[in-house]
Order: sequence, then C-alpha cells, then structure tokens
Amino acid sequence: MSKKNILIIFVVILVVLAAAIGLFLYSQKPQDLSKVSDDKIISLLNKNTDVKEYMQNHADFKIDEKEILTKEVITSRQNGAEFREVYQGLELQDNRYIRVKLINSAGDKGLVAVVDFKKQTAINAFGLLLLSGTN
Amino acid sequence: MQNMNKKIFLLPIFLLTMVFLPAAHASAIHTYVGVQVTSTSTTNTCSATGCTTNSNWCLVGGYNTSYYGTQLTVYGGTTCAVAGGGASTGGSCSVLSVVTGSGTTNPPSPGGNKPICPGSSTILWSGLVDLTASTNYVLKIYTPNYCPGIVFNNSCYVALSANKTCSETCANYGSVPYNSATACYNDAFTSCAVLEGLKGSACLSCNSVASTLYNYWDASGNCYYTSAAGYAATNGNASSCAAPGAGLTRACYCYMNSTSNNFYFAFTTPSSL
Repeated sequence: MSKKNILIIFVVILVVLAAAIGLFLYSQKPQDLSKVSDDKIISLLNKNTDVKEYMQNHADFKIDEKEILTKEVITSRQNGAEFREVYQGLELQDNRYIRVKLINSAGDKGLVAVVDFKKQTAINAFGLLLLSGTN
Repeated sequence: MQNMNKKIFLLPIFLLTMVFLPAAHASAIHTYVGVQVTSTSTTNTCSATGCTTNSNWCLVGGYNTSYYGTQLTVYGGTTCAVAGGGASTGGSCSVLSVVTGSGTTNPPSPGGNKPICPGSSTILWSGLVDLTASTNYVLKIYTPNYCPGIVFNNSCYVALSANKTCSETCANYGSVPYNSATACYNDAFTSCAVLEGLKGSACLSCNSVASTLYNYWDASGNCYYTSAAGYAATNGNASSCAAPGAGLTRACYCYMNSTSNNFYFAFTTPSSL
C-alpha cells in the first residue's frame, strides 16, 4: 500500500471520527425547552400508552397548559397539596421536564402528564375530570 | 432437536410477555376530580377583597392547617348519591380519596389567588382517585373554617382598604374582630409576609414597629409590622380597632370560626374516561 493510500485512509478515518464526536457533542447539548414546539411535545406524549389512548379518544384535545419545571418547582410540588403525584419520581434537574395539561373541547375531560426530554418520553400521566358544580 | 431449539428460543419471549403484560395493565389512568361552582343563584357576592355576606360560598382552594382551608372527599359505591337535600351521602358510599390538610402554605389571599366563589373560574381539585366509567360518585367539599385572607399562627388576617377600622374590615367578610370591636388582638409578626399576602404584592420596604402599634401598609406600599403579641382597649394604642389614618391600610385579625359547612356534588363518570 502506497503512502498516498495510507494518508487517504487516515484522513477518512479522521473525518469520520470528527463527525462522530461532533454528533455526540450536538446530542449532548442541552435543549432550550422554551423553544420546543407543540408538535414535538405531542410526539413525545404519544410514546406513553395512556396519553396516546386519551388523545385517540378525544381527538378534539388541545394543549391547555405547558410549564417548564425547575428544581425548586419540583421540590415544592412533590410536597404540595394538589397534583403531588404528578411530580413524584422526577429528578431535581432544571431544563429537563415540561408539565403538560391537555383538555377536550368541551372542557370537562383532560389529562396531565410530564414530558421527560432526557428520556424522550412522557411520564406520570393522570386523568382530569371537571365538574361544573351547582348547589 | 429442532423443536427443542424452538422451545428454548420462545422461552425468553414468553417470560418477557409475562413481565410486561401486568405492567401494561397496571398503567391505567387514575383521575383527579375538579369542581367549579357555576351557580349564580346565591345572594352572596364575592370580589377580590372578600365576600359581603355568608362566606360559605367562597371556598379556599388550598388544604392547609387543621383550622382553615378546604377538604375534598370523593365517595364511591353502587348506590352512592347525594341524599337528604345534599346533607348526606347515604350509607352505601365509601371514601375513595381525601385531600388532607398536610400543606404548609397559607390559603390564597384576596390579593393573590382568589377563592372559589359562585361563577368563579377557580377549580378545586380532589386527590388522585381510581374511577370507573359510567358510575355514580359523590364529591364532598368541606370547609372547616374559611379565611378569606391570610392564616398566620391559626389566626385569620384580612384587609379591606385605606383608613378602615377593624370592625369595618372584618364586617366586610361577615365577621367581627378578635377580641372585640374596641380591642383588637395582634399576633407577634416576624416579617411582612402576611402583609404582602394581603397586599397581593411585595412591600416597598418592610419595617418593624413598636409593639404598641398595629400592622399596616401605606399608600406607597411600605409595610409596618408589630413584633409583639397583645391587645389593649385604649384607642391609639397597640391593638385598638381604630382606623389607622388616611392612606394607611390595616391588617385585622377576625373571627372566622363559624363558617364550617359541607357541600355535596353527585356526578356520573362518562362512558370513556
């Protein structure tokens, strides 16, 4: 094998290695959750069978609320009075989770879940049933 | 031999199926039940500063001390229904979920989160409960003591507007001052947290004042709190119920211990949850 061929092979290996390192670093770059689109959120929600079932049963659903969770918010709500189960098991990390509330067009059936952008899936999904009370 | 190999090949798949099937079944959605009072038939009227008459129709959306806040209970059973004009759930109802008063936060203040009132958009949420489709349930809302202001040291503090006596302030919420119309008790405060809660915004400055004064804020938003508990009947003194002066808004400790009540809401779950 000529020196020229060895050099070409070396350069090719170097380029492939650099590209692999570049891709790895790009994948490790923290995502700015404030710029995540609703379509992306819905695609991740679809990975949870319970959420997927809700979205199939209520095709008229919309995203009613979405909130980026901080360490402080997770800590306080894990011990809070309302919806505490939604926050159980979450790691105390910033810029990792978005809490999402879905609601149907009638406004009486919804779902709350947490999207985990590190694991690229939805967790802690619970139904919401809203009554209009009269007394 | 070939059959044996197939069996060995299928064994892990069978075992994995045994593991994953129960896991998938266990992921059924549990539900939070929310109630929004939309009735406008009551004569009570509530605003950001409180209710003008019976405050039972303004329910605090928080679960706080054993004295204040609102508790939600979900009952289920085959014949579960509201009975006796809403006074009872009957004997066939079992408790599915109770949201208890384990929180540490004070109830929402008039200046911050609003209580739930007739026609309000505020929603009270139950604890997590496993509901079955097309089944009858009853949601009970229990208000041990309603505080339309801020709870501190199991005392209910409210505020109204500038230069009002505590008698006028408490009367706005259907109550009277603690301890009388002429001698108003103050707890010992250590910060402006209660005043900020009642104001609905941060104090421009927070100042500790002599124990012979009361708790208030001025027109600019500067807050003044007393660091000693007590009350006296002399006007112009520590805990008299007098109006604080032009531009000054006083925080008053009012009796709020006669408003406990239960509200029942029967509901049937939809065919698909």
